[in-house]
Amino acid sequence: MKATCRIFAAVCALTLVAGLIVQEKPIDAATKKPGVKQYLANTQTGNLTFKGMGRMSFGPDGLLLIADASPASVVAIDTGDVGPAEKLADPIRNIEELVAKRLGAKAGGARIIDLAVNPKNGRIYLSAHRKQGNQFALLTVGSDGKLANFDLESAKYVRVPMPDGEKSKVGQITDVEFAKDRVVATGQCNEEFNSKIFSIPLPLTHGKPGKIFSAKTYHVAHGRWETKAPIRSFVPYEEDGKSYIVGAFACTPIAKFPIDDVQPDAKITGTSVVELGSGNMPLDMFIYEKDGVKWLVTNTDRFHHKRRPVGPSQWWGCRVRMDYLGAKDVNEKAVRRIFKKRKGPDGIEVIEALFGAKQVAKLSDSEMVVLRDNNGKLDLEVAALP
Amino acid sequence: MIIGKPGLFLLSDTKRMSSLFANRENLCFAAMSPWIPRFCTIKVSSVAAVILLAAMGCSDSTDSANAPPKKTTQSEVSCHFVIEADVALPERIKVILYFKATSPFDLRELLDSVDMEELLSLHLVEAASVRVDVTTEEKPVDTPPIFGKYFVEQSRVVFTPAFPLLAGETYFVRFQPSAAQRLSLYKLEPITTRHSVPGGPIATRPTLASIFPSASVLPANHLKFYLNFSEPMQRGDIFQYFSLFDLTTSQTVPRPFRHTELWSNDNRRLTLWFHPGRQKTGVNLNVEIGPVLQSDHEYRLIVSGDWQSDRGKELGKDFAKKFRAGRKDAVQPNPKAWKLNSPTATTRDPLLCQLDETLDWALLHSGFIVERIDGDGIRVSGNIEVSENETKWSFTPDSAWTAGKYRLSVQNIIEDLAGNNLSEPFEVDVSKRSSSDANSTSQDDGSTHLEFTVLHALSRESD
Repeated sequence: MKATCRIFAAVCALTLVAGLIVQEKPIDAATKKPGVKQYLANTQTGNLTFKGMGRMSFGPDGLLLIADASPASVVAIDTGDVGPAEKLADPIRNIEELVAKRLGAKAGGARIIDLAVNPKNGRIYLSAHRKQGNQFALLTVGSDGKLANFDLESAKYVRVPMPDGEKSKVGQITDVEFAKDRVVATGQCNEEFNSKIFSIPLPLTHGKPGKIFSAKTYHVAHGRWETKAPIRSFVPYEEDGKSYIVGAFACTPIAKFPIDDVQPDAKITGTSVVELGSGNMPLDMFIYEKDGVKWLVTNTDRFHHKRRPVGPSQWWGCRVRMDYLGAKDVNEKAVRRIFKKRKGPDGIEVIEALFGAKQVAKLSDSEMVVLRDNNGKLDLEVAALP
Repeated sequence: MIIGKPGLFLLSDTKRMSSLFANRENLCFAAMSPWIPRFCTIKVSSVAAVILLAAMGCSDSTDSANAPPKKTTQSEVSCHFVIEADVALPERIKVILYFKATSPFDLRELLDSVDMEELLSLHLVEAASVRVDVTTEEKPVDTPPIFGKYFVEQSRVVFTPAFPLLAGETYFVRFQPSAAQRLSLYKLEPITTRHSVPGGPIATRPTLASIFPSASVLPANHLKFYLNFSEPMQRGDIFQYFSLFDLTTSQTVPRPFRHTELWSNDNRRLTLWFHPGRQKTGVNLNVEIGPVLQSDHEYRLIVSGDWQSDRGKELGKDFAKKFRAGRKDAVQPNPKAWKLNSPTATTRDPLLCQLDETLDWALLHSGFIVERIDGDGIRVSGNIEVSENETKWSFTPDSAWTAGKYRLSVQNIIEDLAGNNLSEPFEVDVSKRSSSDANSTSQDDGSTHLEFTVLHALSRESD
């Protein structure tokens, strides 16, 4: 069985089928505005509300991207948070209960949806949901561990709706990231088995889907069975001056595909680069550099942890040297982590500091912020990167 | 709760209130502190109901009302709470802390640089967070304050919680003058009071109104269910409320669901998916653990009664759908096998489409369009109904049919229960794909058209 599994899992590909293609228009240097303003157009002020706040990430200059599910849209907030360093000094134990009570609910009445770290100063942002009344909140965490409620009623923002006609209704945006000259989002459909990738050119314009192109993602197992496959999380990166996305499906290997070369009606085949082992669902991803070497970090939820544990928890993480992503062709035999060891093959390593990590975000090239499961409760802390 | 005049309701800590009445303009009450009766009058807002109360000494758990007047060199200052709530939304309140001074008093200056959450705060009371001391007064214990906004004027501090309070719950309001160093001159005492939010109308329980597909036999590679609820349900961490029980083996199926919440915009419809990694041929979970369903086994899909609606009310009882797994379905729906009738002009007779198999319930509502193809070619508006285990689709026009040529435009994203749509099967065996197919792009934005003609009754008879 194991040999069969290896063969089955080794061959996976991501296929991108471009629907509507758009040539990304670079920001005109002559009209370029300073700071975060260059990325936003028709900016609104105040009365920002969410009906399904979800994943979030930071762009440059305090630009915060948040996914909203109802209707599916990307909200970009000019946080104005470009101040001094705000790195969390001490861990916050049982932070989800603290969040619940600060939102006016009992313990268990609220949950943390996602975390993001402002690269400008290291301040942690949390998206949170109070279950009763379906209330959403954007919270910040000061260096002293004090939580604050980001005032959405006076926020400067734009909301970019995802195309949502009568077909392919997107029920959830699974990830959203800033990628140099655009914002990229992935979505899953509510009705038909389908998923989408959206590329939104800059500047992000309020109320206007604009030149969004969407695409479908596919997955091929055993070199034979091709099915649609939703991307759950991804991270943009550049290689030799070209833009790529490294993505992870709900339960399959990590794959990459270029986003510069999408042409009308073209079929782009991505490359499976690393197999973490079956039953792993990568949750977050980021890239960091140490001693001149770039690493991809991801944490994952192990489907059958009890059957074949990697660490003490179903949530664990690892780092993969970025040169594994350099494969040029469809990878018939994606590199597989050696499941019974903490390291191996060379350049793929389990990170013990990510045991229990339900969420992780990069703080710097030497540290990360971890939201860690601690016997059913969540602790927020800063941990060292290897 | 005490009703004042129409449109007004008044809440109080009745333990402290000896009487309360309202006239046209003023709300008056006699407040009885544990030691000294007090009487005060609050102007009634025409918009908001003034609820309150723990005004002045009646709310002072530390006996500040009974304390002698403070001797200061500048001024004598006292303060009290008023809590205002909207008549229609008692979960929305304002806490107002009034300061009264015997000489000019600049509150904003005194509170400059003060941590307002330390000064004035609101806390949810939980059983575990309350202790009872010898004075029988309840005090919150280490309960973090609720987020909100502060507004400071010359004589008052207004606190507005950032989120509506929870119906039926009790909250503490706490004033801690020690948080403001400059207030120490006035030797103010801390004040706490309780505020209870009414429980709202008699709470009916939410219900799971329907589950689709409605058939009792589903393909072994079945993908998803639609759960329609009577009211919006709570999002987040919902998969703990679902289970799948194999009645044939008497065992719970491990991790059968895709942990992605896909809601309708109104939070009343959830799309619940089986884990695609287990339903797809050759994907590692499918290989290592196997598919979710086994042919000929019987199952019960269970939705736990513990799940709460948005307003915090549980379903109250488990809901279940029993079904049997049939054979795998790898065949695409075939519109050529569908049977379409021809409605009669000047009537609102339904257009009926008999399908060749059960199709996706939601897509049957969103993926079928009736269009007139002669004349102006406009879309016909009407009402769609789906019946007979989602094998029969009917369309009743809003207005009577007019004679002419029409078509039923079916989007190719229409799926059967196993995810096979009109464009392609759920799983494509690429080893059998021809070289010309290999570079083709499957289109999900196309449509399949079924034409029909609407005739007058007389024409039909002559035919």
